[in-house]
Amino acid sequence: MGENEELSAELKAFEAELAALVPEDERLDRARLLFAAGQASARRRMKSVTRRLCAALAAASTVALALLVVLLVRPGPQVKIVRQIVYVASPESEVDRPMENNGPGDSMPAANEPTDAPASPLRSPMSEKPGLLATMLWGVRDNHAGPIHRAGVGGLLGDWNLFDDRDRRPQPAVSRDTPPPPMPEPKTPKTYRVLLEELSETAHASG
Amino acid sequence: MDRIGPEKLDELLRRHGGPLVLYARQWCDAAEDVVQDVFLRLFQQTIVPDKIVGWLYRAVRNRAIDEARGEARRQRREGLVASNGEPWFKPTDGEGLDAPAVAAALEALPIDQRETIVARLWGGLSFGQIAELTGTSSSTAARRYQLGLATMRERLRVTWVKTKNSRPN
Repeated sequence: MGENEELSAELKAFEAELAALVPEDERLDRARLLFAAGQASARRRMKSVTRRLCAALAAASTVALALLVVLLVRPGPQVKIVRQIVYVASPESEVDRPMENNGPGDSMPAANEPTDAPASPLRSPMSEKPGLLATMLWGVRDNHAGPIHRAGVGGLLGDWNLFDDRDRRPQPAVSRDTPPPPMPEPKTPKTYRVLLEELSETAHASG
Repeated sequence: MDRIGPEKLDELLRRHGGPLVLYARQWCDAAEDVVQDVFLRLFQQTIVPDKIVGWLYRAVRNRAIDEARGEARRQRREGLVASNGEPWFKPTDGEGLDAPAVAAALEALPIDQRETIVARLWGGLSFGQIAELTGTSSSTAARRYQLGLATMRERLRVTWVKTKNSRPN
């Protein structure tokens, strides 16, 4: 059935008359209703804020609880002894002395110093032929990547800071009871060229 | 749809407030309270229904029926009369139908015809919406509407021609 298809003309006219009447709504207090709606909205907002605060509080409490559990469960502090070798400066400058034999790669006896120890393959030509000292020294140092090797990267005749290797050699420890000797004034580092000349002179003088 | 705002609420109230009060009055006397509660509920809805008018009529209907049950219990307990005598329509200025007579004729109809006529005539609902509201078919709603109109017309003893002829020019 359509909306008003089967209504007679009389009923349609009566319907129009009825529709002209306006329902009474005076007692419907719009202002009160809108006020109540505003109150409900404010309550809703407050509820939302309260809910967020509760969530934040719960999250913070959970984190605090977890931290407390971690604090209680984790092991106590452990004492770890670390042995560290500390080199202190010796009263006598070691630059002037011939280098000690600290290992097979570090052996560098003076050219005129006789050696009783069995010569290593790298050591024997050095003592017999001082002219090869620079080459052998380079080769020895090349096998032990260290300060000297780094200094000599520039070339065979480049500057070679002899003091670079001091910290690699063991130094006698200074007792706490005795005052430490005054530090020797550091000498000007020699260059590789000067070293070669000195060694050559020493070799010529010795024979 | 998002939450309903105060402006939309005011617009709905102006447009549908009166018909909804008349609709609720078919069951209970505290029709204004029912309508206000329903509008407040609509305002508090997190998700506003798509068919707001249909939702309003359904909510008013359910709320008014609940209120009527409470009123009946209260009246039985207190021995009060059923109606509080609130006017259903605004008074007319002498033209058209007499409002109290129409209200009386409407009140005499069965509830299914009454609610159909109110929802259709003053609420502007279609027969499909009324059928959905009352849980019937559209044809049943239309038949109730037609029957209710005819009954009211008979009770008011008015006809279009008689009214037209009786009006002074």
